Amino acid sequence: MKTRNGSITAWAVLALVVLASVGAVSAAQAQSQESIEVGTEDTGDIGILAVEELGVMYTDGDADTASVTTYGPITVPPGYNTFKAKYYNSNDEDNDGQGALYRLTVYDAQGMAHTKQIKVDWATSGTIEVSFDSRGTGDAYYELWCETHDWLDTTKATDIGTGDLDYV
Amino acid sequence: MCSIILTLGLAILLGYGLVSYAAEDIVVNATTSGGKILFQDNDSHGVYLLGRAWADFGSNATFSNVTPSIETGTGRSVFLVTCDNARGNELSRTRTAVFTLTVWNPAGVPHSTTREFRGICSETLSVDCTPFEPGEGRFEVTTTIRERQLNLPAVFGR
Repeated sequence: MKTRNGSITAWAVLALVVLASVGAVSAAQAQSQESIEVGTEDTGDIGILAVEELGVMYTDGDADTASVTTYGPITVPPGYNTFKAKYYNSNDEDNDGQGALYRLTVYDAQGMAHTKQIKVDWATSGTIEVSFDSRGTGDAYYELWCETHDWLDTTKATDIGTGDLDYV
Repeated sequence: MCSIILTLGLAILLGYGLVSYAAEDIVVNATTSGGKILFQDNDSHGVYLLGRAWADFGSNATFSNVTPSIETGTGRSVFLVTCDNARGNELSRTRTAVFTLTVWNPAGVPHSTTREFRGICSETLSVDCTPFEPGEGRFEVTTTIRERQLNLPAVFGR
């Protein structure tokens, strides 16, 4: 009975340690995923009209390459839309000073830029997105940009991809 | 001992002063291209990509590729040019890539943006312009590679 109690205690302590470390790691990752949002405004609940995928951004920490592929000119209805872009960062170890930046910029019909930037410091992939009200119809533009850097933020490679966007 | 340090310090100071006095920026290469902007008599507006500009530190070349003409209205328009520099400086070089976009409205008033990079970059220059009257305006994109160099003969030759 006594040895059984002992092993239960040992298991409980082990489980606690594992749980705590998982929590710490996920907290650290959530913290280092900075995102900066500029110029977006909440226009209330009018419903999302369209969700558009604009392109893909790839960075490679070992090969020092950055590349953007956009899906070409797009047309969306005026109003509240969501724009997305995927990113992939490969060959990057955790907290080695090396990292990548991804930026999505979409203009509304009035020529105001809606930008979101993400910084990652490990091999990962994900989606970056902005949502806003187009403020009317007209000719606009979108841009995807990515960078891979070494320690001290020395840029190793960057790329930019652009596309035409019409609110009709 | 003290005098050695003092002399050394003085020599370093003199050397630094000489180098900063003799250093001058020279233009390695430059390209300018431009086009017309027709501001029509309506309230249309928009965001327009006028073209692309490149600098290359490998071959010291500058290029640009711009649209010859673009049409918009008298509303607020945003004009963009992307600029790229694919290669950085070697350790001993101090080159700077300078990209400038200037837009003149029909009244001839310029609006300009300049960005400078010492290494690899891909960025966007943006100029916004709200003309008060319709008419013909124009734009110009300039790409320049500058290098900081020592010019000792110029100092001693004076």
